[in-house]
This record gives sequence, structure tokens and C-alpha cells, in this order.
Amino acid sequence: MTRDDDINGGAEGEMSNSPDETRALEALGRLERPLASSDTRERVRDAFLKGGAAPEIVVQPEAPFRFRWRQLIAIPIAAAIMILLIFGSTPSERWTLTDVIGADSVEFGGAIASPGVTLSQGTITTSDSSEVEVQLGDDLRFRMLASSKVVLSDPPGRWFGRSAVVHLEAGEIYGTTGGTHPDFALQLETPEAYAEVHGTTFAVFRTEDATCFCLWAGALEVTPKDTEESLDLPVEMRVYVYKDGRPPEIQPISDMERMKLSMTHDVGLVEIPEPEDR
Amino acid sequence: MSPDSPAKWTDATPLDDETLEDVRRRVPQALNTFFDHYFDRVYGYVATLVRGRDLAEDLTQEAFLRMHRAIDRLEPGRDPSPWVFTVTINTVRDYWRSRRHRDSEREVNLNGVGELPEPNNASGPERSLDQKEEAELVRRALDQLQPADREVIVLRNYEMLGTEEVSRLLDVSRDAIRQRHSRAVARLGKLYAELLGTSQGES
Repeated sequence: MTRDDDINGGAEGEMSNSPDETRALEALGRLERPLASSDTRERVRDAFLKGGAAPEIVVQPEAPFRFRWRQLIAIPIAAAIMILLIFGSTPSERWTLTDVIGADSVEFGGAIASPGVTLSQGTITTSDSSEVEVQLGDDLRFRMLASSKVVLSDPPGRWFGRSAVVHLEAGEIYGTTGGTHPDFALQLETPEAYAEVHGTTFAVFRTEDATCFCLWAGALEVTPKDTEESLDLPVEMRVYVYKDGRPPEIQPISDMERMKLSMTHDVGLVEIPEPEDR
Repeated sequence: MSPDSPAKWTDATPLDDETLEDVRRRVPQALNTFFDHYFDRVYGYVATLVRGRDLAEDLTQEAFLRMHRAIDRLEPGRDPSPWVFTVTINTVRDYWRSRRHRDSEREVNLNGVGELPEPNNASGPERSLDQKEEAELVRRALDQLQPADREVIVLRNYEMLGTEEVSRLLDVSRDAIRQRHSRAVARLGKLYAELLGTSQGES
């Protein structure tokens, strides 16, 4: 980088600056450069090193088509298997642990899990310095912030009744839904309320005395457990559902929530590499 | 600036070619070196321009993610500082263009700009400001400038870049930068004087 001699400046600036301008510029020049905390530095470093780099996709050249007699037998067999898969069973989508930030692993169901593993029903807990991302097939992705506890339901069937339940016991999650199955419904549950989410980006967090649902876009129907009276949350609003039975309070989402939600929304669902079972 | 403050952009010494080549290939150790080389500069610039530590942290992270995504486009043998700075500037500009920024500005306008700093114990309109008060006032004045004015004044008078450099970074002619800068300095001086008057009037 280069620098001129006329840093306002120099010949072109200072000569014509008023006393107020000179005083302001001097004060600006004395302003201390903001420094990030070491926690921030390490968090950003971790994100940078992991980076958002798209997974490499290798496209194999297409082999020339040759008709073989074996295909005459293989085609009906494949069709039969497909029919069996569709009508004979409902294999499950998988919860996949897609990322762990601030730690190498996370506790899942009392055991240690690392990014890439698939998860069945169970509880995930993040420490006070780690965050976790979980994805369900191409239907749902959510990030659990530090000090959160989430119970995952059994993964949903692949073909019919696509829905999943996420129970937030503590902490905060940011999520987005709406992949290739527009009928997919996510049920969020906390000790104070239920919510049904369709094709949207949302956040849920628990405070000492309430649950707060935030909606970025789409539809979110919230039902306090004590009244069972549902309300549709308007977009870019949040609702507090209180433990002590006070009526729910709807407010605009904060700037910070808006930023995090928009980032969650922008990232969307990520491509999941071939899972390793656990 | 305190002696312990991290270097500004103009103090950056380029990374060596071998490290840069490894950075382009995303070798973790080289990425770490790259990160350490630029983090304080990126964060310092962002945090000077936007209001709030959380926002500065988020935008810094976003800038580094953008760098990671495009890092293979670094040109071998060339100082990456202008590229890093351009990515950072664009990240902040994208935020300013976003709806969330407009909403936050509206919130601030509705809520006012908050309390002025507590005056020190000295009395009289001519009393001198202590460093903390002065910093608070100039930050307040900066925050009240239009983003484009804030940007040019921070680049010229805080990052200490020349007109030519700012012109290249912002892709605006030198004459336009001079005009914008002159206007920004006048506004900053006026705002600072007003805030100073208010602060000293309270003491």
C-alpha cells in the first residue's frame, strides 16, 4: 500500500481546514485502534480456516452407452427394489452433525461425536465455548450456540409424514428449513411453548423466565402450553412466551438477531458428505 | 493511537511469495499466517466504521469467509493487502446497503444517540477533554456521518491512505475522492464542535 503526502491533509487539506475541522481530525488521529478479544480472534480464525469452501465435486466422464443383455434382467429387478423402497418401508432421513466450532467434538447422548457422524434420537449439549451445526437431510439445518441443550426426535420417514421434533431445553438455536420437500414441518418445543415451522428461517432461545421465537421469513405458528391458543408470528418479529402465564409479547427482532437470521438464511442447507454411522 | 496499537494498513509488510502460494492452495499453516497478518487490520477498520462490537465481529468474520472463498484468486507475487482491504470495504458496504443496517439506523434515530460521556471534574467552557471523552466525542461524530463520508474520512485520516490509494480502493476518481473528503471533513468538524459544545455546556 502506498501513502500520499496529502493525508488531509497535507497541502490540499490542512491549509484550508477550520479550527473545528483540525481539532476533529486531530482527535480522530488519536483514536485508539479497536482490538478484538482473543476469543473473537480464535472464533474468526476457526471460521476462516474451515472456511465455507465448497466441497470438491469430481465429475466423471460419461462412459459410452452399450446395451447389454444383463440390463434386460437388471432393469426389472431395480424397478422391483424401488417399489419395495417406496411402498414397503419408510427408511429414515438422518440427523448429521455438520460442524462443531470451538471444540473438536461434542457430547451426544453421553458419548463424544465429531463432525460428519449421523445421529439418532438423543440429546446434544454444547459447552460454554462451542457451537454445533446439525442438519436433517435436505430439510433442516440449525446451529446451536454455546451453552445449549437440544433433544432430537427420531429422524422422520423419508417419504410420508415428513416432520421432525426439536426440543430446546436451554440456550439458543438458529435454523432454516425448506429444502426439496415443501411439505416438511418442523415442530419446535420448549418447556413453555410449541411452534410449528414451515419453510423459513427462525431462531429460538430460552431465558430464565421465557422462550423467545424469532421469525425471519415464512410461517411460524406459536402455541403457549398454558393456554393452547396459537398465534401466527409476523415476519421479522419475535414473541416471548412467559413461564408465569403472562400473555405473550410480540416485538420487532433486534438488529443482532436480524443479522444472524439473515446469515443463517443466506447459508441455507449445506451439502452433506457421505456420513459415517454411529 | 497508542504505541501498542496494531499497525494500520500502511504499515503492513507483504507476506513472502512462498507463503502466499500456500495460502492460495489453502494450506492450513499458511492460512494461519495470513490470518494473523491481517486480522487486527481488518477488525480495526471494521470496528472503527460500524457501531457495536458484536456487529464488528460478525462483519470481520464475514470478510474472512469471503476471503477464504476467493483466496485462490490471489495473484502470485503481488501484495495481497489491497485485495484484503477491498474485500473488507465491500463487506462493510454490503452491510450498509442491507435492510438490517437501515433498520438499525432507524432504531438509533428513534432512541436518540444516548448519553454524552460524563464530563471530567474541571470546570469552565475551555477545560480540556480527557482522552476518553475526546475518543467518545469523535466516535459519536463519526457515527453521525453518512456512511460514504465516514468511509472516506477513516480511509484518509485514520488508515492514512493517500487520495490515489483510496481512489483505487473505492473505484472512484481522485477528484471525486477529494471532494467527498473535503465535504466529510467539514461535516465532521461541525458535528464534533456541536458535540463538544454540548458536552462542555453540561459540565
